[in-house]
Amino acid sequence: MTDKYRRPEAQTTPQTISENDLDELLGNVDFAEVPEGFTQQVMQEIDQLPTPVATDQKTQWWQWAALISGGIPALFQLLAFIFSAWNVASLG
Amino acid sequence: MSELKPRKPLMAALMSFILPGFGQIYNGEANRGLLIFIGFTLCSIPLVVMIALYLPAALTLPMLALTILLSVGLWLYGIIDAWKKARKLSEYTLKSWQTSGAYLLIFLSAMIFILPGMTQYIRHNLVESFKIPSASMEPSVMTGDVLFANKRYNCPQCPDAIERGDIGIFVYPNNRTQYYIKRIIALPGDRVEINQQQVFVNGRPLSRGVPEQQEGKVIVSEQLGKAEYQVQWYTSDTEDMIELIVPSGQVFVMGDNRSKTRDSREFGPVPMRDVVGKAQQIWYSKGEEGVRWDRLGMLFE
Repeated sequence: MTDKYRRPEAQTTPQTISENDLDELLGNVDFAEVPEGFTQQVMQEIDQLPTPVATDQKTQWWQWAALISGGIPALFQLLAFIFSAWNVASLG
Repeated sequence: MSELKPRKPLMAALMSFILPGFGQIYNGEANRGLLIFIGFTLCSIPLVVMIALYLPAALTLPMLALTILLSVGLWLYGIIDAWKKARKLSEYTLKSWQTSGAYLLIFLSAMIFILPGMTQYIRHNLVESFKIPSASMEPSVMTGDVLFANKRYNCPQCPDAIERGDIGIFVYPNNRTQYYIKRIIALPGDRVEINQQQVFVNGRPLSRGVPEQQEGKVIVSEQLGKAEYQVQWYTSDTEDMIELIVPSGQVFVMGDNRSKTRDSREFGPVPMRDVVGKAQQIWYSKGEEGVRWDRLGMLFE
């Protein structure tokens, strides 16, 4: 039982229970039985899950081409931004 | 079936090299990548430039130099961070949004819209560098000077309004693709007159020091508003100007090199809306004699 369902008086006056009483209480409760071979079945299910596959790690030529063709104008754009205040305009 | 896509450290670092935060997105850390990109774009330049413009003008140059250190520092941090993180991601499963299209969209958005937009914003609204090609403002501004212009000037939200004596940068009325730099002499409604090289504003002569004669030129200090500066003219120059009342919404501008300048005496007053900036500080200067070290960091106040 969570605190939410506990009566106010139960919260203010905590009850103690002895170990003997607890053993007796647990002895009267019926627990669900674990199915036979449960652990093995779970492990089999996990083994049957698809495993991640590592793909070819070589960078393809088009990736390099895209990086270089986009990278060069991008670098100029970055430098233009960094030096925007220093970029000299002409006066008449 | 899910696929393991180990992150490649070199690819992550290169992606962060061409766009700060891009390597983190490749590593699946979208929030971190976004933070690095925003930090790079905002904290490194616009923020420091704005601080620089609110500080005394003497700090403009060091603060702007700091922007380069900060932005390059954030950029390097992004590269190293992406490299280190990718090395730890040897067993990585792609997130649902990590597609080629998403990478392309992020990259193009940053490179076509965000960074160029920010660059233009800084140059149009905060600070811009100009190189001086002519002698029209000598001896205050020399040919070959490169200066920062404060662009938070002469606009409704700007802290600096146009004042007499400012060195203004404006759109040349006869060719709107060019910018000119001249001194603001008179504001709307002022009366301007020039008699024997003495400028009168509202009937009062601009106060002057003792004139010096050098090689056929007269050099004298002049004071207008808060500004004190030197002007010069050829002794042979005797051109006067009858009194002119500056129309509403316009300003009268003149070069400090009075005999060698095209200014409001030639093309008339300039609309105030065309005054786009104010010269603030020289950050580089090179003449025929080489770099003029004594002019670096010089302020226009």
